[in-house]
Amino acid sequence: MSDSTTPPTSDDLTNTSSEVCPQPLVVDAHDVIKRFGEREVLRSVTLHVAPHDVVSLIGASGSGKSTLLRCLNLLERIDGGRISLFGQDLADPDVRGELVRRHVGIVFQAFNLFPHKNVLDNVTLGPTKALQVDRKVAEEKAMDLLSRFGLKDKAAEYPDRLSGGQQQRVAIVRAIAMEPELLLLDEITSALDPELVAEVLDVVRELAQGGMTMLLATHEMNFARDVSTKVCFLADGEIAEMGTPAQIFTAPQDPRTQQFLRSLTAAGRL
Amino acid sequence: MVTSPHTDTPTSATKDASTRTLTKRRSALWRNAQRAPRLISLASVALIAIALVLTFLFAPGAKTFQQTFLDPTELRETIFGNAGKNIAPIWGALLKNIELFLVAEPIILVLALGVALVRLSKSPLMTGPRIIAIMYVDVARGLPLILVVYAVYFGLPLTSIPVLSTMTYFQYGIICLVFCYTAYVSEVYRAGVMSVPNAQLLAGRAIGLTESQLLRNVTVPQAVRVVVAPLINDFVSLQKDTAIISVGSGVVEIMSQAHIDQSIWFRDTPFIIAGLFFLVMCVPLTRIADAVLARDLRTRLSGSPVTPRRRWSARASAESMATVLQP
Ligand SMILES: Nc1ncnc2c1ncn2[C@@H]1O[C@H](COP(=O)(O)OP(=O)(O)OP(=O)(O)O)[C@@H](O)[C@H]1O
Ligand SMILES: [Mg+2]
Repeated sequence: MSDSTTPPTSDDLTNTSSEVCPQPLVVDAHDVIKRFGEREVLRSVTLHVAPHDVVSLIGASGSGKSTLLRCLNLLERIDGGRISLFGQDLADPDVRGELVRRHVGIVFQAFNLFPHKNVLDNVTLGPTKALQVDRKVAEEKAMDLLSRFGLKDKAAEYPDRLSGGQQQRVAIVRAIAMEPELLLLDEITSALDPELVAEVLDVVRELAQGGMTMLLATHEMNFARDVSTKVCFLADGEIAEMGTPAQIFTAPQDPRTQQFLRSLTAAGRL
Repeated sequence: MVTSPHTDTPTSATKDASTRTLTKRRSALWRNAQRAPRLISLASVALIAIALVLTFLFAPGAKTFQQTFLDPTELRETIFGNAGKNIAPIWGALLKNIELFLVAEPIILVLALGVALVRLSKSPLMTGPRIIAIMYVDVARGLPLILVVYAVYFGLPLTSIPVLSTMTYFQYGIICLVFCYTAYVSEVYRAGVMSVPNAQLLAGRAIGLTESQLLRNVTVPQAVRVVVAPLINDFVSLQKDTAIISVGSGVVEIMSQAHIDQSIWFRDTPFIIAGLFFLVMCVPLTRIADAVLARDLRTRLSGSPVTPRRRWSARASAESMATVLQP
């Protein structure tokens, strides 16, 4: 991925209703289609993320949130439509997956830390190998980040000795140690015990305040309402509704959104 | 129990003391619980040992058995040789087995890696080689080594293929071992690589590693842990199968030497000696394999090396568990 910052075309900007900004969009996905075999998991998804946006993807299980995130950093290839990141079309034959992923971090639901490496090595692997940063420099930076998120004394531990919340914070640090311009968070609190959720969400909140552009799939509705600049409701592989948190959570228009929010309220999650 | 007038809560001292005796009783129970299984296993070992010795000494036919398999003179002459009777010492032949093993093993380890990589590759360009590799592994694993030995020893010299038809029997032996064992070892490698969870590959890609960086930093280090124990198993098996190489060839390894010795006395003591030599070579290896496997099971999920502290804490938690379970 080059650092080219070609401004997005006027078409692209007119499509975005809410934000018209001079910088190129971080994510500009248009009519994205993704199939697994016969099943169409994403059906014509159009999504825009501007710099410093925090966009929440909400929706029922199986609605395609994870799939959409993985398509954005080329962990999955799309079957139709177009995705541009920072003004660069991902379909371009020059675009290589690993180059895209050096600019787009992702944190998984299940942490996926490397069990054979200690916390510090987990964090420095990307910078030293993929970005060829000097080991000393990478380690200093990693220690800075770890202390910032209260993990300084865990640097030498192996992942299995950490609590779930600590593991997930390490996974976030591992992702941001690459200094990504976009951070994808895929239900990062779903595998955690309730009392550990807050410490992880605090990290995300801090990143949002620091201006990190983020796209997060989440089932934590209160958090989504709190932290997002924009909320997208996904249903059956389509974006059924998109808007500010206030619009989506207090005055949803689409019947599917209303139904989804009603069921959440009934379950006491909203 | 005397309650001190100075304490505001007279019951606390009583409670303290009773807790203390209870704790003492519990740890005594815990010690007993630990001792009992040890005594039982000791008794079971002793019983089996006595039964074995009695059978060996007094069972019907025990005398003939000892003559056939354990004649003292033959034992001695088999091991050290007897120039007068033209008997070569058997350990000389054993060196041949070790030589076969030491030459074959490195070749197998390298070739098997190649076969495994071909089978693991997903590139369409490799479809042809991949099919060949699959066929080879199926055939090599399906054929008994002895059949391969016959085919190579009697077949290859009859062909007029330049190098292959004029090799020494030692080299033919190496070919046979390599042919059969490369297939097994390649499967061990492959299983090791496939045991690395897909989530780990995703995580590696997510931080921008290229496929080869992923292989070196994520896949291989995790696969190695899984592979070591089964690899040692295959070493052990290879070491034993060097005995088959002598069949119909001029390679005098330990089996053929035992055969020669046996034809002098028409009794089987030499085979016992040969067997003992194999055990001496193989048993340490199998013990290592077991130890590695045990370590592997403990660390596979955690991925961290087992430290003394960890062992201690596992034991401590078992102890506290036992304390809790006591009435
Ligand atoms: N690799 C795959 N192969 C086949 N089908 C898949 C694959 N990955 C996902 N799917 C299917 O795609 C659909 C969307 O999955 P996805 O994981 O994106 O949902 P989600 O919105 O993230 O759900 P959840 O909230 O449970 O995480 C599901 O029906 C799933 O079964
Ligand atoms: Mg998901």
